[in-house]
Amino acid sequence: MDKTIMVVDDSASIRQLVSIALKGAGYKVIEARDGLDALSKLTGDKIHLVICDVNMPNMDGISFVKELKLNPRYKFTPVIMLTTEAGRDKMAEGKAAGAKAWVVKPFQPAQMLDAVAKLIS
Amino acid sequence: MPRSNSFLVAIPVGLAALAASLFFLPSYLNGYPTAALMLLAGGLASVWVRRRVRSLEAELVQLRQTQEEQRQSTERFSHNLERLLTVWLKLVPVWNRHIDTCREIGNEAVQELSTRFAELVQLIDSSRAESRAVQGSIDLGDIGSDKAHLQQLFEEMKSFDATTDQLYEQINRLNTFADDLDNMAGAVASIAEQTNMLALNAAIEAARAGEAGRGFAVVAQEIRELSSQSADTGRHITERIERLKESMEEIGRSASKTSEKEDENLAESERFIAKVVEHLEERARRLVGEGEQLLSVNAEISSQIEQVLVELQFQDRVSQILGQVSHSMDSLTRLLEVNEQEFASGRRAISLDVQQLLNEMKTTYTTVEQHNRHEAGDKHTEPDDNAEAGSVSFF
Repeated sequence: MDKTIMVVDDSASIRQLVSIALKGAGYKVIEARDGLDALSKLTGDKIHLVICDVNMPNMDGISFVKELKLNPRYKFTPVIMLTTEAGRDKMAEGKAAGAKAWVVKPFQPAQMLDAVAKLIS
Repeated sequence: MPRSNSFLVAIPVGLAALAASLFFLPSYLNGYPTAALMLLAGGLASVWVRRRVRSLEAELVQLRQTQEEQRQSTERFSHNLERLLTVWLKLVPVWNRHIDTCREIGNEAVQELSTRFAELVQLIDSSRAESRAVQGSIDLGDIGSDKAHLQQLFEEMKSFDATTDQLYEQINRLNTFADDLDNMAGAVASIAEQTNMLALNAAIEAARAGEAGRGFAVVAQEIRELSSQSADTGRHITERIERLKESMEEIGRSASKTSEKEDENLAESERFIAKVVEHLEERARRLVGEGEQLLSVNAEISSQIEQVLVELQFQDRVSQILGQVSHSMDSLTRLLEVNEQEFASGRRAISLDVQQLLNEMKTTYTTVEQHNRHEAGDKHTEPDDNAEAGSVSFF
């Protein structure tokens, strides 16, 4: 069975880049443009991993992760933060919210796929 | 010491000197000389005081001029500051709108580019999948198998040729049988001739026996006719066999020629088909090679386009940096608007803590580049509290 990954980013080009890399590696992808859009797409179906930006309109990534972790269905879903934010304080916020990894943009798809493979297996 | 201050010191000193001469000198000098000295001192003091007063008046005028200039300068500064504030408050929103326009244009263009490149990658991937399927269908092993089948077909044709040879052998053997039959026909003719001779002798003996041999003579005559018919039959058989042999020899010659022609045709067909198969094999090998090369080129193109998509990440960072600049200018504008109102109402002077503003600005940075460029100059050192671009941290 193909594993499903949700990609949350307000930049369409980043969503496309991530999606191409993930689909190429055999994953199914659900795209969302911000935290609120992502919450609306949590329909109860299994999501094996979430890749999420931090700075987004409407609902930022950290707030979305906190909401995600409150949902019993997705409480243990691993989250990778994919962001231009490189500050240790912000990373600590992400960790406290429940993220499992932090990738700083610009990134190479291979790096991201490695991180995905480590968390999803 | 400034000149005005020296005046302030000189006046009391002069007055003190005059007072001293009035109080102390009369005790040592009595009479007129004393009065003359006192008058001289008083005159000198008066002259000195007048000069000082004029000097002080001139300095006062200069001070008033300076004060007026300073007042005018302050007014000009205040006016300029107001104008500067107005310019800032009017221009910044326009700059912000332009920055937003740049962000929108950049975002839209990069999104469009990204979509096109993503479609290209999908098309190339799809093309590669189809090419792989075609490559999979071109199996050189299959051509080898077809070649083996053709070889088997040739072997069967050769075996058919061998069967034809066997048929010719059978025909030759029939010739032998025909010779035997010919001999047998000769034997029949010989027997018929001997029988005829015997019947002739029997007829002679029957004639010599007279009336008693008449019946025997009839038998002898019948035997002679029978032998004559046997001789005719023997000749007919010989003739037929001769014709049969001629026909069979003709068949043999014809069959031999056919067999030779078949052998030649078979060999020619084998050579032709071998050449065709070899040509097909070569073309198939070339096709497979070209297909593999095409797949390799496609993979390289796909990889390059994916790298372009990676490079397009710059727009996300540029957009965030411009967004921060716009937000920062907005904040400063709001702050200046409040200050302007306060300043205009005369309640208080403009107060801005530049360091605090810079520190607040740092808290809104989202990229490594912003932290690097915050200080004057072109610093490219990573702040200690920042992770490197492209780094992956696991918690």
